[in-house]
Amino acid sequence: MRCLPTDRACAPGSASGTPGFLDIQQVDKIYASAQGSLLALKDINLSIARGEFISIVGPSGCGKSTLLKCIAGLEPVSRGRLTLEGSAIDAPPRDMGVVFQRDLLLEWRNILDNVLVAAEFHGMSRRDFEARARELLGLFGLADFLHRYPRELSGGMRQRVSICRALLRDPQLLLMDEPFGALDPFTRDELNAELQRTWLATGKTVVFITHSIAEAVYLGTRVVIMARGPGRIDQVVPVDIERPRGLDVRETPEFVAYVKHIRDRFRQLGIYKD
Amino acid sequence: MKYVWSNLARRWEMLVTTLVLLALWELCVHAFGIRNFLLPAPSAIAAQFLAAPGYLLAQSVDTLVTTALGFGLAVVLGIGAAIGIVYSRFLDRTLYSLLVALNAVPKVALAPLFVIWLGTEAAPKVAIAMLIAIFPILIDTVLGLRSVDPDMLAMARVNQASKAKVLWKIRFPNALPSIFAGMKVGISFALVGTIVGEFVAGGSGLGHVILVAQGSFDTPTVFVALVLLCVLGVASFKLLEVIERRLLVWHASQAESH
Repeated sequence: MRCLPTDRACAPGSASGTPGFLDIQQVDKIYASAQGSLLALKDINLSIARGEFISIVGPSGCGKSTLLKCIAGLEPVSRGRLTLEGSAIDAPPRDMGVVFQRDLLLEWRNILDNVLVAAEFHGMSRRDFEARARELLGLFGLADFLHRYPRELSGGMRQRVSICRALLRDPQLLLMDEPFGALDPFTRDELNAELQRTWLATGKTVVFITHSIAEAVYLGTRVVIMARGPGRIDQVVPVDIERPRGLDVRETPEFVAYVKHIRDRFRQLGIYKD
Repeated sequence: MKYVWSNLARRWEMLVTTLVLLALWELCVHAFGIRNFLLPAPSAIAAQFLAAPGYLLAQSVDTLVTTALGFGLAVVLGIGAAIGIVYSRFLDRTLYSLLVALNAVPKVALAPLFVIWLGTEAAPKVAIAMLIAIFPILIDTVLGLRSVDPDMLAMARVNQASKAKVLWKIRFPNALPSIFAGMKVGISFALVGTIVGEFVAGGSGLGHVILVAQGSFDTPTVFVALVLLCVLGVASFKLLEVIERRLLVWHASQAESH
């Protein structure tokens, strides 16, 4: 393992001097309310290269979802700069897909139409995207369910549909906010493997938020450890495990070492009290 | 198939119960010698209808048309106003507050005003039907359009959806169950409004038939009109239910009937 907690090269924001694909510089996010202001994110620095898979892991309340909302252009930052390919993010970027924690499917549309809604919302012709939608749904094993309604599908299948919707327009940037948090462990394993396969095949830049340390290590090229009070990046851990990673990789000593390192760090931060 | 059978069985039970009640009614009227102008026997009511079926059916159609026009107007204006109220803070504070206040007024009391303003033809009847039916439709539509999951709106935003697309592709379909709930109340209200209009403006319709029959103590005709009103009310409600079932196959409330 290359990275140790004391290793300065692993400190946040020290990736390099060259601008990344997605740059987060000295970002603060403050929520003002009648009771006073809440510092949700403090001095976030992260430079993400094109084609990286960034896993962000941290406890509830560490601001990881807030950070994702800022990157998605859904929330303005209070200080600092957020840029995608050099231009500031002040509204949801066009070249981006987002997968939310809940699948957010439209119950009144069948599966194919749920994927195509991404094109409709963008003001693009459905016809131009129908072949791609069918292909994507086929890749995720849903070819036989095109004309079914969401309520006829299991939770895992529904979340697959929402991933297809995010991928429809082939965006360079894919943001995922705890997408597998509500799924059972078997389905979660399956979707982890499918997501890795998709990422390897397409080379998209992914920012993936999770509560699960193992999931973060399994998928990420780097794992960002976030701490709370205020929400901040504690450490960035590059994951040097060969791809494609089979599910069994999680029992190898090197994988276990990464997980242990991250868990130890959370223990030091006072997240675990065992 | 199972569904069809259980449905038939349920209808069968219903039919038998109704027939038993009618038989009891008939029996009581004859046994206690109740006079015709107080409570006519079912056979007398049927005979009364068969004496002039054409006239009574024509009056039913008249009432039905007035109700449908009033209800149609209420749907169009109610949903239109609801969209305005949901999208405009100004309309929400002014129009909506005003309408909620107006809703507290017994609208039946406004019927004579409409006769003064609109005369005694169909117009005042349609207006009263519309006025009574619009409130449940408007209030339920506002509620439905507003109760959208904020995450759903975030999903639309990251997909660059315009306001119009959010309305037609998310808010409106999402509000449909609520809109139908309002319409099902509204259709019964529209019929009430029509009858009130016919009482006040006169001229035609089952309300007019009842009023004239009452004047000459022609109780069997009153009952014929009531039976026809009952048929109109049930039929229009059922029609809405059929449309709802067609449109809302996806909704949880329809799940058990499929």
